[in-house]
Amino acid sequence: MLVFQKDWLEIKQSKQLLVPIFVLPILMVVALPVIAVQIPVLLLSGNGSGNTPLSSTLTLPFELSSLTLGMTAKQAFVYSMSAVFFAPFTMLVPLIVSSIISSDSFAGEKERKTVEALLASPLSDMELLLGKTLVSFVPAMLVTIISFAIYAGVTDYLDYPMFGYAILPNFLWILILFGIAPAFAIAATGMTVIVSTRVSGTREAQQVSGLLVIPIIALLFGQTTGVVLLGVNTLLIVLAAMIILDYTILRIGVRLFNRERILSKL
Amino acid sequence: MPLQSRSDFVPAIELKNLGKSFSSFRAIEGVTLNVGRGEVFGLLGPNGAGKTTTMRIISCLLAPSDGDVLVNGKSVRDSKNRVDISKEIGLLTESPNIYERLTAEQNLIFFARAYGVPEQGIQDRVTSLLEEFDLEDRRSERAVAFSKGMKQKLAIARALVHRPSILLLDEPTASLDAESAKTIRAQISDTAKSGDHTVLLSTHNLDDASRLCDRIAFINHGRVLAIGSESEVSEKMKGERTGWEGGRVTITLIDSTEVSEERLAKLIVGAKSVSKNVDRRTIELCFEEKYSDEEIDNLTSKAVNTLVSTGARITGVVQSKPTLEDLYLHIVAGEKKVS
Repeated sequence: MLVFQKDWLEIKQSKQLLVPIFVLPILMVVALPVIAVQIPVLLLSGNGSGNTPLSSTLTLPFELSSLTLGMTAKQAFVYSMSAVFFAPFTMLVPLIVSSIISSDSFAGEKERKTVEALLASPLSDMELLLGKTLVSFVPAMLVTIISFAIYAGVTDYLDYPMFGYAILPNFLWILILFGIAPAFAIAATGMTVIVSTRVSGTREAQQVSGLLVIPIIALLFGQTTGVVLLGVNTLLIVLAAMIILDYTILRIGVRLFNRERILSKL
Repeated sequence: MPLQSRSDFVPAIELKNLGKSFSSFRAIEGVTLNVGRGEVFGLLGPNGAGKTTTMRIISCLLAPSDGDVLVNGKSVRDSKNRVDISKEIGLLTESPNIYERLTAEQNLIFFARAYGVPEQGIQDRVTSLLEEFDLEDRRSERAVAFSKGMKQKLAIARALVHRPSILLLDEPTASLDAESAKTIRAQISDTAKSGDHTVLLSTHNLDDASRLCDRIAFINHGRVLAIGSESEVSEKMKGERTGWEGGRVTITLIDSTEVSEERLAKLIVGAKSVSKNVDRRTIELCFEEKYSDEEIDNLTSKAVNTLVSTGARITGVVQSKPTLEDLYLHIVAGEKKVS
């Protein structure tokens, strides 16, 4: 916990870290979906088609149609977009936050030339790795939950008159928030920490950990084209895969941690 | 008597035929030396000589490729000793290694905890170090606002926070201005004089080595070329062609002399070379190596008389001995092994 406390103090003092950690996720998870969904709805309201039964206007994938059963076309559009389509954006948050923080960990310490004294201390490899991982994981989850809470609040505030109830959070989002997001955060943190120990700067570390964004972009793309739909079943498969990936990354991280190698990249 | 020959010499650090390779590059080759408890020992050599690598092996940051290092009798090769050895060592790395986003106090508290200082003693220890290093009034200020000298002071305080028996100082005054370097040197000197620490100082700064070290190892290209106190090394080098053979004498005149260097060299007995300063008021004599100190005294008197006979009026005569810089240039630059 000592490394965690020290790094946490450092993060709190760094505007360079705090600004992207909070601003980027809020823009992406809150502003983008709200603008993309709520503005068209507001513009289209009053044209009459909004109250048309869904079955007569839209053909939705089975999983989505079961979620929107009995809704009007407008309700189904809002629900599909707000509660389902933009869900992968939430998975990007832990990736972004943890890669920003964890690339600042060993790679940042190398850049700032503080790593040698840290490695010379009696702290064990496990204490160093765990501290560096936790200090990325905890803020990543906090920011994810805060971003979602804001998004859910805004969405429910705007859409409550249309639905008569709060559409968020639903089971899908709870699964993403407390299952998928932590799994992605662990993977991103672990990968970035491993990469950080083997490169000389934060930029290289961020670039390599950025590779994890690819599967999420693929999910988003799949949803747009209708190939994939992020239903509960799909998410459970993703979660199982991520748990295996997390375990593998953490094992590799412990095995590859080598003080001499870290110093050789100074 | 040489320090290592004394009966009370107890080694704190023992380097035994130490070698280190990085891929095909041989950074250290067969280094053997002992540093005694309470001693201030200098590793003197140019950049890339292998000083930092040696320090890193001693502090268990790098594993030796060959040989071994014993720190208070514990081998760095045994991974079980890593924690014990690191607790016995206070390391000042080449750059200050200070967390600039943290305050001076937070830096010291973090390392005190990392080194296992009992929680109830941390505040007192931190306060006493901040007072000792004149940082008490800046304790709550983030280190980013500190000058280089202050950061270096804080880094030394950090190295001392767990009361290590051995202090490894890697280029402590490098990149500091003259005033800060002087302050840091004084701080190291005070710490060394306390007798509580064995100090291993790596430097290419001859002034640091000369002022602070009891003994010095001249090191270059990973090899130790000479070990001893400044006078011991100087003594060992007697008879070698260093440019200081037999000693040097500087004679200062009231007025400039018109007698040429060639003429003076012929007139002054035993002089290997005679050179006049540009103002022609300072004459430097270099005697041949075969002469003892006593003979040089006699030859100097004769040289003074000879100069007076040419009409020169003398205000001063100074016999010089080789400085550490001369020894360094001779040993390190010439890659000369002095046994």
